[in-house]
Amino acid sequence: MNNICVNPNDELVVVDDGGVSGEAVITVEPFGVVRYFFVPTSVIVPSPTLGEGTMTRRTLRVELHADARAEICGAVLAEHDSHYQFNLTVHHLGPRSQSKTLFKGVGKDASKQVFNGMIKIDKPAQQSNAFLENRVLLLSKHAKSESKPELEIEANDVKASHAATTGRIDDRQLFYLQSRGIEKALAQEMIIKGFLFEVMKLIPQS
Amino acid sequence: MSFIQIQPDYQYGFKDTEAHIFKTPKGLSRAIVEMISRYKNEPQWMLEYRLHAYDVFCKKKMPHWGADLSGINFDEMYYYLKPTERSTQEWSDLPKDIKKTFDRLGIPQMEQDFLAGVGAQYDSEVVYHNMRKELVDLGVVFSDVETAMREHPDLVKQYFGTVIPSGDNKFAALNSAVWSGGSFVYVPPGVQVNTPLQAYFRINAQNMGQFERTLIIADEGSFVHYVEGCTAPIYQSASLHSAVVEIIVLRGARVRYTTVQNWSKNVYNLVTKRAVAYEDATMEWVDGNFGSRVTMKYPSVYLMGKGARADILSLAMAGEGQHQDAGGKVVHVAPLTTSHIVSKSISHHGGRTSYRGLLKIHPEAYGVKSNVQCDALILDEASRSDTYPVMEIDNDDVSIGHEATVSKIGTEQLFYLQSRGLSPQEASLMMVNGFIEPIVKELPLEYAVEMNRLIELEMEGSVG
Repeated sequence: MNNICVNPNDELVVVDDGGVSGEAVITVEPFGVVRYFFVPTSVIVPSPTLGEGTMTRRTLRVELHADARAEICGAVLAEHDSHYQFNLTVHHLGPRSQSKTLFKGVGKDASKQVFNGMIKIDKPAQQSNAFLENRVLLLSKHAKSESKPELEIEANDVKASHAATTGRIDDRQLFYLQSRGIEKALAQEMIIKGFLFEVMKLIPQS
Repeated sequence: MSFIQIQPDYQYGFKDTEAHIFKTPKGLSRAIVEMISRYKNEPQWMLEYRLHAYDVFCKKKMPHWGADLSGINFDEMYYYLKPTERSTQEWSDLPKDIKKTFDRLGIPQMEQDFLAGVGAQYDSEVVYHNMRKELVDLGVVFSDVETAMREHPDLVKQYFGTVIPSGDNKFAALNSAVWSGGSFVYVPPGVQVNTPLQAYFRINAQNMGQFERTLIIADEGSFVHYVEGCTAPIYQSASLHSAVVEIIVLRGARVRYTTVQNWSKNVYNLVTKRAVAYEDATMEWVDGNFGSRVTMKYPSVYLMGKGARADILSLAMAGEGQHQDAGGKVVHVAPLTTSHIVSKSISHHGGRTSYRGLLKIHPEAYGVKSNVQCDALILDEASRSDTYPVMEIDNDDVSIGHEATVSKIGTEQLFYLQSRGLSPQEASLMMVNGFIEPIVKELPLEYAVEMNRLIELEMEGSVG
């Protein structure tokens, strides 16, 4: 992925299939909008071999100037012994900039996923608003997850927050679907799909 | 003597003339470590432990990941100062100057009113130690570590340095090499110590390093609440306080450790605190940081037995020139363990607060529940707040939540309070008090009052 600049007042959608690991910077000029989606192919076409032994690492930095907006989303389905690492920095440089980040991950088998999400708000970036969310579902004893949501806030008139959760599928949800005659494996698939759909549905269809 | 007024309303900034009966020369060397050990007449194993730690200290690099520690000059510091001939159980036996200090801090009065026992450390040595007779009769031990080494050598040797080895970090190594004073607490099985034990730490001399060592052992099914308070005079040059606190909570026991840290703003406060909790045990840290120039302190709990529980409440307030780098760590080693961390921080007048935390779930630890909540208030443009939590999860049968927010006092809320006739200052203070209420309500009443007053003093003249 190359570095990208969103011009003033422009809106840009970036869909990143995680094909090539590497670093990238997205700069958003005043009143620009970026919508970035990290959807490695395994989410779209689950296959028994894809992802095996792969390591995908993305380091992304989003720089927001005055009144710029960013929506940053990710959906990761980690299977077999694949390893995903996403290092994100959302850097608010100018006033009234806004960012919203949602990363969802499902960990199967012996996979590992790492999410580092830093929100930085510089002194001039007053009245900025930043939120970051990281939700992880672990489906196997051997699946691992690391989550490091960080904040560095130097302006006082801002809102900045993050939330991170890790857990497994709610037994009550599984039980409900099974009581409707759906097999356990299928029920589990449905729940995973629903979980990741929250991100997938945000991707513009065109 | 040079004396600057950095902190106009720091009421504990007074100092007494330094009178000591023994003081090591300036700086740190192998010879100084040997001198301290010889002076304390220690067993050989402790001398070896110190010397090994000294080597570790020399090898380890300064931590680069946290606060700015460049103001510490290890060669300009004094590592050991004995203020009086012996420790006493009567305030009236203390040298006049030292007694006056503790009277001004109000310790003898507090002991009478609501404490089960008090220890008071002045520079390097514990000068006063006393506990209610009924607790002595129940077999509770509360003394300085030197005394415990003489009277309970087996217990000290069994547990000393087991929770925090000297190789843990540079400052734990420094403490292990030159430690002096601190508290030793042992609570026998099933004994409930219902009123708190308090230790009070005071640095009086200039360029002083205070390295107390605390070891608390709560035997099966027991309970104890230990409280520590700290103050120091205001000097122009920096002092160093680098303590090590080790706590062992055996099966079914519960320990609560409360800190009200109010060092003067020339003190570097770099403390390692850790507890291990066994089956069904509960460890609670209540950690309030108001003073010091730099604090780096992350009370931690290792949950080693099924059903163990950790509670960490951390409160930090940073004003001009201060950096409070505080937080908490919980490592879930055993299954069905739970933990809860609440951190609240306030930065004002250019101060900086950081939350640094770790939550680690081992592969064997199934059925774990953990929740972490960090809230930060920034009161003005010059101040800053950071959050650095780490979550490492190696088990799927867990329920983990982490939440953090950073904000200022809402203008609507301020407006509402002002419309009810409160001044802007009163309104901000009320908001701050409400913000930290979940932590303050966990304190014994006397400390809660003290903490509210501290915040009021700190906030004077600041408007939202």
